[in-house]
Amino acid sequence: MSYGLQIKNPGQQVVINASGRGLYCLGKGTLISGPTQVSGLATGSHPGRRSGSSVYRVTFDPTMTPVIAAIDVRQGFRSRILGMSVVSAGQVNISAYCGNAADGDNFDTNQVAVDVWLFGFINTMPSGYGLAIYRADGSVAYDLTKPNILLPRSRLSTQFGNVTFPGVTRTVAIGNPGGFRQFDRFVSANSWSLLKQQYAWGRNDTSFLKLFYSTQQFRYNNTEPQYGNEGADDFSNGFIIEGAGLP
Amino acid sequence: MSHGLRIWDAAGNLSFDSDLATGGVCIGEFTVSIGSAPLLFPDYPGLELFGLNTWDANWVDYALGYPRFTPVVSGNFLLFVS
Repeated sequence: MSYGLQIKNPGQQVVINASGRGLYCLGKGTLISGPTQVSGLATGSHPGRRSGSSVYRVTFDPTMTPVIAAIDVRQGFRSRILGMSVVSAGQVNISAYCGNAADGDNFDTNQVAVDVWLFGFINTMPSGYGLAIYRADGSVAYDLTKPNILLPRSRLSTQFGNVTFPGVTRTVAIGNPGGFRQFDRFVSANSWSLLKQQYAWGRNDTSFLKLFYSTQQFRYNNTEPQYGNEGADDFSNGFIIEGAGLP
Repeated sequence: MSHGLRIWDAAGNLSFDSDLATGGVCIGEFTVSIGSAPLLFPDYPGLELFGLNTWDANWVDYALGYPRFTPVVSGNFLLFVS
């Protein structure tokens, strides 16, 4: 930018940029379904083995879109956001995965409830006292009077391997770790299978985090729709954020 | 901290500290489609651009002195600079 406010930390990393757009925590998910446990046999026929999950609902200020979900990375578990669906304006369901105790086929046999949060943008003018930073077009970049602004503490790797990050009191990850899918049309007559490896964040230590994969497998017969294609590894960026101050 | 900005909320919790290590700053959500014009970011010279959703670093170059994003797939991307 030619003018405007930019704040860097002593490591020369950008913390605030007046052309940026701050994300804020809109609320925490309330468990509405599950956790369902893994079911079926990995070697069995239709419907195959299906991994567990749980579903949460967040009601939020509908002006603060678009939204993105974050998940608690519990020590000893593998966690990820599986998906999000809009219930109505200002209400979404977040499907999440948090499991441990993997079996021989790498399905987690213990699925537990997990904390999830929703983040979104400010689209309305701040009011009251405090400090706000505006973009050149007059829209709000940051409203520093609001609690729980998203400040990424460390970028997560896009590949397998340990990621070290600055110490946080509570490790929360935001972003989609990606996955891999393998589609087999020729399991047997009138049958096909979809093998999904859903990458997940895991943590065995307070200072690093690792990308794992946990398996989801589906088998279909010819009464069910085929979907999905053979896929390649699909890695994606994520962030570690401090979860200690979140609601 | 020697200098910088700190903000506390009404309950006395530190809600912002410019000394914090950071992985990037969000600059917004962008919707792109294959073949559309590259997105130019002259507001962020010298900074690295990256996306939070499915992403390939090859989509970004800095030949102009600031980030240029050439969409290779259609989609919505949350973009960050650091």
